[in-house]
Amino acid sequence: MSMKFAITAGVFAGALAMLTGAALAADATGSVSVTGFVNGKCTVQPPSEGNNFSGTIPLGALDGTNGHISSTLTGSTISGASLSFTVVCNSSAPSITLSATQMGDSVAAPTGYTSAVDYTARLDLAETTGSEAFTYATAGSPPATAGALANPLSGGTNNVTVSVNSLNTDGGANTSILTAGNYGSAAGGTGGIISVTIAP
Amino acid sequence: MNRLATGAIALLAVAVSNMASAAGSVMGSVGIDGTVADRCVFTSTNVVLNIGEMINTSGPSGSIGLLDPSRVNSQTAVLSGLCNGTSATMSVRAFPMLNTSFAATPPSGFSKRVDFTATAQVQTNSGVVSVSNDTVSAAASVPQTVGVFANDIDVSFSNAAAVNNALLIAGSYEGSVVVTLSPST
Repeated sequence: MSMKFAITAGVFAGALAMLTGAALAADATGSVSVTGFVNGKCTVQPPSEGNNFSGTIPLGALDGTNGHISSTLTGSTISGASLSFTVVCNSSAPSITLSATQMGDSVAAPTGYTSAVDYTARLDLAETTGSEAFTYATAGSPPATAGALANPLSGGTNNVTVSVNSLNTDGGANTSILTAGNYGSAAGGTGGIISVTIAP
Repeated sequence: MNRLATGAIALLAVAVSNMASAAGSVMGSVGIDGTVADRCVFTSTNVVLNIGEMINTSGPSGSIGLLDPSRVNSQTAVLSGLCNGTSATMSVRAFPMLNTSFAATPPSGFSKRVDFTATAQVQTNSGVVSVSNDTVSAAASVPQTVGVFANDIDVSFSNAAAVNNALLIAGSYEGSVVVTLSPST
């Protein structure tokens, strides 16, 4: 009887062992997630206080021999009338705004004369693929030109160029004589400020 | 003769009957056994490291917009685990930080990926066991034996770098490190 009992117990124990072995031990995994962000940012290079770029485009004598706006300044391109800057933007489509103010010399202009010179400001931006240009004509003080680039701003140097062209008076008629003086605030006159904003 | 035989048999039967009643208790034994499976368990929850802004926002010209490696390399995490098998092993797999906001191919000069090396280290009865894996590798590190242990597993980071050291595209980035404890099989 005892033997029969022993055999039964042995079988039971073996079954228990089989059940335990069937619960296979699996790998255990622990994970560490690392998250971060890169804020959209446009930065002037080299870094400057206020993250601004600035400069002055000297146009020299604005009048021609007849006292009217010089014909060398009325064309769509003016040699040497540009400045380039380096801006780093890490966003895929930076947004641009461009505006400019009319130049003046703060002199009251009598009939037949003018102290106001309009022009077209132009902004050229080199992108990772190709380039884009924005323009703003000061006549009539329209709203700022705005838009977004189709591609990221190039990571190279001098990727932003500001230039001036198409100086004019009298709404483009160029019929008035320019009063003598310094035009543009940079020279002691008024206006002549081109404002550029590049945002990520 | 038959009377003799009969008498003899009767005497034997009586002798046997007397022996059985003198035995008393019956003894039996029950054996029990069980098993403890080789097992590894993490006793801590998963860790999330938020490293914040990842690029240089100031400093020398030319470094603005580039990854600040120290943002990643300075990070550490602690996982707690245990294994009860003498042949248990530990391995680690690192996955790069990828921009989750920008799906397109980065333009020239830009990157949306940060690679790094992750190291998991634990003090065991046999000494310190360390495994490392970089995010460029196609597989986890070779498992190293940790044996029986119950301790903290320190995870650290190094060699963080953007692909081609390019400017990082703006957006959210996420990567991960997976530490695997494998029990004896």
